Amino acid sequence: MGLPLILLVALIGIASAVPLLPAEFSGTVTINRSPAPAGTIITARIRDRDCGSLTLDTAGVYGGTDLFDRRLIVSGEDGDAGKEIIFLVGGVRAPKTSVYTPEPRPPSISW
Amino acid sequence: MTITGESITQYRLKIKDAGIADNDYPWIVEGQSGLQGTYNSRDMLVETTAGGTQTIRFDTNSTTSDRQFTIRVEDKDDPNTYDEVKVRVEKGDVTITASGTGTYYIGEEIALSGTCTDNRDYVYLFLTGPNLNTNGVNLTHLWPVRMDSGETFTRVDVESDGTWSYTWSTTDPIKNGRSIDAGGYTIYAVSKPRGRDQLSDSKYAAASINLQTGFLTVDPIGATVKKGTYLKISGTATGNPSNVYIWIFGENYYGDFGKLKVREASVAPDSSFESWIGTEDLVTGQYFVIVQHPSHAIVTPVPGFNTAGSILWNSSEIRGPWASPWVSSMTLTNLQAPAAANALINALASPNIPDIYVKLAFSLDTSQIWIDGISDQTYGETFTVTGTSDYLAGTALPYKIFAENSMTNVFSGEVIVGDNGVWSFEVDTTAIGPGAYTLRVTSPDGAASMIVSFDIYDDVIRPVPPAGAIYRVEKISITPSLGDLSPGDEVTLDGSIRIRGPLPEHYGYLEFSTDLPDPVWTYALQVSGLTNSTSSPPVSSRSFALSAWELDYGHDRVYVLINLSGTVPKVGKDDPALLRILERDSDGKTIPNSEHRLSFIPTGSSQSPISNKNLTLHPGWNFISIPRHLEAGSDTASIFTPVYTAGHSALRYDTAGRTWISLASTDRLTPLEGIWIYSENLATIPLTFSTDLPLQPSERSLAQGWNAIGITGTSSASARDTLFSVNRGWTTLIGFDAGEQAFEVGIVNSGSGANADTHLVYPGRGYWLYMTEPGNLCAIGV
Repeated sequence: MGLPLILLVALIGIASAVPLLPAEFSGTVTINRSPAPAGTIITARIRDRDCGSLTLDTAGVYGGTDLFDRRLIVSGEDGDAGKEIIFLVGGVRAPKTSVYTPEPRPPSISW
Repeated sequence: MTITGESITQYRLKIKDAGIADNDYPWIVEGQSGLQGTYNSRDMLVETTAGGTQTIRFDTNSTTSDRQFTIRVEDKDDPNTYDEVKVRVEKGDVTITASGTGTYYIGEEIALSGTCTDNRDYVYLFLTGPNLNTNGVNLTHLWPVRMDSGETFTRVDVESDGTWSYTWSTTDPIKNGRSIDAGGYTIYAVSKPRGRDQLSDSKYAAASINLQTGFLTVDPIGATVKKGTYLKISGTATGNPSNVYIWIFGENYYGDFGKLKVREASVAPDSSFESWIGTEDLVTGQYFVIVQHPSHAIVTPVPGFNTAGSILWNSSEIRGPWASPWVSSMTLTNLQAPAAANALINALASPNIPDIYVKLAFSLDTSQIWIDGISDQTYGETFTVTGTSDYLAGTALPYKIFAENSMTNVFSGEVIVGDNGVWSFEVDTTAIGPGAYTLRVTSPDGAASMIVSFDIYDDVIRPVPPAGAIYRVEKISITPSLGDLSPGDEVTLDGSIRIRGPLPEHYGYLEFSTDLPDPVWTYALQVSGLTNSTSSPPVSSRSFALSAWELDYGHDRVYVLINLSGTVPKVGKDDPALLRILERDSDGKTIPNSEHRLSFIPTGSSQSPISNKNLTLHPGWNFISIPRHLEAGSDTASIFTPVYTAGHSALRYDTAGRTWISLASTDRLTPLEGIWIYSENLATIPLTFSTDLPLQPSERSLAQGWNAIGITGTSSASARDTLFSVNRGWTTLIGFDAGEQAFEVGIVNSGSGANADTHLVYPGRGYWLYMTEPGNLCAIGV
């Protein structure tokens, strides 16, 4: 469900747009076909800006579908909507990417 | 044996030789009538009576062989004239029986009885068991028994009928300075003075008994005892003690104030005991109780001391019995309560002190009174104040209601504590009127009390004045009240607007307007308390204006009194105004920051997601907040657990970091913070609001930028009033309509028209608030 952000900007005038809701990710992580070890840091980046990170509690798996599962929260900013999100796993860029869409259901993504 | 023969004739009576030792034969009892001469003990001369008969008694003892003997009587002069009879001697026997079940408490008496046909004179008793000489000991001193030394046994006479009996007091050994342990014992009854290792040539029997010490159980008394109540010490003391002893130690209290005193509780035949101890005079604090079972203690009195089981005591000290080297005299009254209790326990735990004990502790507290939270009340109604107390049912608790501004007592009475400590009484708001009040409920002795504050509202609105206005809305009352309006209702508004100074534009004017479709206004000016002649006739237009000239009375205080009536319209999303006041200059332009706007939201169009302590979530995203403090335990994000969020997190926004943070289930939810949460379905979250009093109003630091804030309180209020604490820093406030899944029109600080800050904001909703500088947002409701 999209939010009428354009209308909002027009109304606020001098203020910047309200923060966009984040994207959320969960899935599996492998390094060289093996589960990434617990402690591995996943970082999300939009337009060369780090916009969320998560440290694996369990080897190879993060997030989930329950309310309090620890997902990767990607906080986009004004102008980020529609931009590519790249992911760094342990500092190494993962081959898969996503697109920052502030409001759809959070996609599941695995590397 | 009776001999029959010639009259007055001598016969020889003898036991024929059996080829055994002399001691093994029965014998003729000497000294009997008719005995005329002795050959030996089993061969004697007997003379018959004139009737030709004579009865002679033989005897046996434990050495006599159990066999057949031939007794022969023959003519003294003619041995061939004789008669013989065979007699069989059988060994005697010994039996023993112990009364009862065989299990006895040390201190009880045990009735022993039995028969002894193997020794007509005595039966010899001895005892074996734990920590006793293995060959046996006597029953009185527990001394070892020695073979053939009858005095070392417990020697009991045998009755002529062969029975015997003996009552053993199990305290006998203790009286004689010996101790006897609990455990299994065997009591032997023997026909000869023989110990357990020498029983082969004797007749004996044995009875097994079980000795046990008394047992003490004490009923729980609870960790806390209320001062003024009676403390019941009760329980069970087995072993037939006549009393148990109760020691109590507290601050400068040793059973008595500054003096040692031991209470006695008599033990009933069913082993129960109880003692009631008044606490009215005791000081509050920690107390230590020791209940002492004397077990089978037997103590020789000591001058100057009382006796409590094995412990001797006087008004200050305790000591052990004379024979006890383990418990020396010790002064308890110069010790703190815990140390005094421990000193007594150490004494009771000393060797050879058989007493047993149970320790208890309790805290003596003053009873308390709790008042359930009182929400703000509406004038004209009667409400019920409820609460609880741990004072006893039937206790009368005085209460008083004070006006907070004058602290005058406006209402008072007494309420009776009911069952389960619950109490309640009603307050008629018409009896005390609108205002802020404090209720105090006290205990009869004044030792406990609780106060709680509450307001009684009269539907009069006293808003924050617009920053740029020369007027101030002193009060507005609406009938029916704002929250009860429904489309089609007749509504009446009465207002009092104070003019604080001349309009900046000499030709400007103050405009009053309404969105009521059929308004009828009347107004009047009140100058220095007097309503002047400018009172208006009814005005039926949507607006009217008063010029600067009309309002200018120099230094005199001027009020505009207005009355407005009309019909409540159907309300859409354009948020019509019931009353709008603003200043215009001579060109008709609005003076900035001069508008006061009173919206009305008819019943059924509530904008708050909170209803009846439930938070309603619409399908999709919801921007919500907690309007009041939640009860501890129900104040974390875990209350959202039942919500199906379709893989979304519940989110809070970190303004300074410009990042989103997903809520963990343990994260506390506090007022003034906006939370985003997604719900796949329409969902209702029950909220448990804190009833703790007093509650601090919430406050939250806001950073420069967009802040996700929440609205506190129980009813809607204008954005201007709500954000008054950050008035200098905020510019824009944006709500989110979860039903429409759309942001609402932004409210602008000192804005006008659709963006006016007189628009209402709603408890339980979240808002984006833009701050140009940091600020502290304060709650407007608790």
